[in-house]
This record gives sequence, structure tokens and C-alpha cells, in this order.
Amino acid sequence: MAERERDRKIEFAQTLTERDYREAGRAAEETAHPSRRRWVRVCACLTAAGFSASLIPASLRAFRTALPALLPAAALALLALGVWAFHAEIAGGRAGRRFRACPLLALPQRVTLGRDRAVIRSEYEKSVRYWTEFPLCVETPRLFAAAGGQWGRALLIVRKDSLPGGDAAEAEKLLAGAFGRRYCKIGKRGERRWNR
Amino acid sequence: MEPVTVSFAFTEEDAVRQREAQAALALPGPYRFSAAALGALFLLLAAAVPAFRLPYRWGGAMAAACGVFLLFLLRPMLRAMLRRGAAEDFAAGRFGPAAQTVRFLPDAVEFRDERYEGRIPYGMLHAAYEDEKTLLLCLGESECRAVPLRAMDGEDRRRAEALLKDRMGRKFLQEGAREWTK
Repeated sequence: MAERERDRKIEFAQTLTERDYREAGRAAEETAHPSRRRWVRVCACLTAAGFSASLIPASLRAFRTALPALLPAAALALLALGVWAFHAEIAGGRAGRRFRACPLLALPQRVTLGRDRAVIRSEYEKSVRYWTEFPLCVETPRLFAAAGGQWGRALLIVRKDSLPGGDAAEAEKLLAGAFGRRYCKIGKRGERRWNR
Repeated sequence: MEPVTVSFAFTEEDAVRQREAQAALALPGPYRFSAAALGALFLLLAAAVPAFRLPYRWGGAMAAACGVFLLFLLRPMLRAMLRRGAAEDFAAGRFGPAAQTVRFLPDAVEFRDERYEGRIPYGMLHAAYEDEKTLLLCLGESECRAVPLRAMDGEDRRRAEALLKDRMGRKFLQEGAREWTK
């Protein structure tokens, strides 16, 4: 009985969009490489701007003008502003490009999630992906993304709104169990942070 | 028309060839030519320093170093890194199952291995690329499957090429077709 419970499979149909792919790509990238997160990059730019601004007195003494220190400080402050404003657009760009380049990704698919693998079927293909292939699984408020697969497709995405009622919690339990410490839940602030 | 069926076991050498073909596809001839042209320009600048008795000796030396690097060292260095990475990835099993079958049908190309089955219409392939050792079939920007040409005899190769040329048009690139840019 316990074995049957452990081997329970979740079956559902979904159609992925570019927005899903961008969101999953960004979530996976920022989880795997924390230095690529928006606030880390903004802080790096502001730190460099502050350091440059701290050289203004030295610049005044040496060159009798603040411009050599002021200009880089202003440029870095502007860069920080730009990163803050456009990070969401740029960060998922690579995943979005991959989605547009592969028409197979936009086809409706039937997914079966199991304890050790996922089976994905679409009109033209059927593939079996084992969880051990992926170094990381990220859960955002809208989806689950197994990321970093080196063979075949790098991202395996499960949209929560495609899962039948109650199965989102079941899928979370299943993936958290399969990935163990490689499972990561992000976006505590909810829709606002991840769905732009 | 009879389909062309190719069955093969993927080896480390095939993995290296696949990566080389992917790199050639991602970095087309004009880019490689530009790096070489820039290297030649740097060398000319370096030669101009003693020729016209210009005072920029250190600048000339730097230009000479950049020129030699771009013209003679960049490509062999990238190739060595690529070969090493491919061999490591093959050893780690990142090239998927070894035994694969690819069939070129009149309307689609069929892939079959222990974890993937696909019958992809030619129009849905992102690109196809062929050099003297490998035929690369790309389902997406970074998702490619390689067919080692040693697994096909001359007749099969001609028929597969004819099918790809006819069905994919400009999306099928052959390295020999742009020999002048190499």
C-alpha cells in the first residue's frame, strides 16, 4: 500500500508560453548563480559609485576639478538605475530566445510526473527525463522548473495552473522529495516579484 | 521514396565532432574571418612603428602580441578548450544514450533512442549543418543531435543531403558551401 502511494503518478496537459519559459529561465539562473540577482547587481553598481564618489576630494586636490571622480560615479549610479528597471527584461532573454527558436516547445504536451522521472508527450515527440539529470528544481508562485539538464532540453517546466485541483501540493511534495536539497522555493512575495 | 535509416553508437570522438560543428554553426565564417582580419590589422600597426620610426614602442609591442594571438593562437586555443569540454561531458554522460537511430523520411526526420522518440517535420527543425565528419540536426538553438557521417555510406549520405536541401532550403548549411570564409 505504501509502495503504491509512493509510486503515484500525476498526469496533466499543458501548453507553455514564452512568458513561462522566461520566468523559469530567470528563476533557475538566479538560483544557480546568486550574483546574477537584481539586488546583488544593483548593490555592486552602487558600491562602485560610492567608491568613485569618495575619490572626489582627491580629484579636487590633484586636478582641481571633481569631474574625473564624479563622472564614473554618476555613470555607475545610472547603471544601477538601469539594472533595477530592466533586469527582468534582460534576465529571461536567453530562455525567451530559446523558446522562440524551437517551435516544438509551444506545442500542447501531456506530462506524467513520477517519483523518479517525467514523461513528456507531444504531437511529434515523447521523451523520458529522470530527475537525476537535473542539478536543480525551482518553485516559483506560478510554476516548477527543473533546470540545468545537460542532455536534450535544459528546462522542464510544470505550470501550476495546469495541474488538477490539489495536485500542485502533491507535485511539490513529489519534486521536493526527488530533488532533496537541490529543491528551492522562491518568490515569497508572490506574483508581483516573478510575473512581470 | 525509401527512408534513409542510420543506426550508430555515439563515441567520444563523435561528441567532440558534434561540439565543433555546434561551435561552427554558432560562430559563422564572417565572425572567424573578422577575428583574423583584426589580427592582421594589429600586426600591420606593429610593423608600422619601426617602419615609420614612430615613438610608440610599447604600443607596437602590444599590437604585435594582440595580432599574433588573434591570428594564430585564438582558434587553436578555443578548439582545445572545446575538445576537452566535450570529452569531459561525454565521460559524464551528458551526451545522452549511446545507441541511437535516425531515419530521414520524406516528410520528417525520426529520432529514436532509449529515452527519446520523435518524428519531427523538416519545417520544425531549427537548422541543419554538415561538415566533413558530422551532420547536425538542431531542434532548437542549443538542442542538437549529431549523426556521424561514418555511419552512412555514400548513397545514403547523398539521399539524406538531397532531402535536407529540398525540405529545409536555406536552413541547411554545408561547410563546403562557404569554403571561402573558412
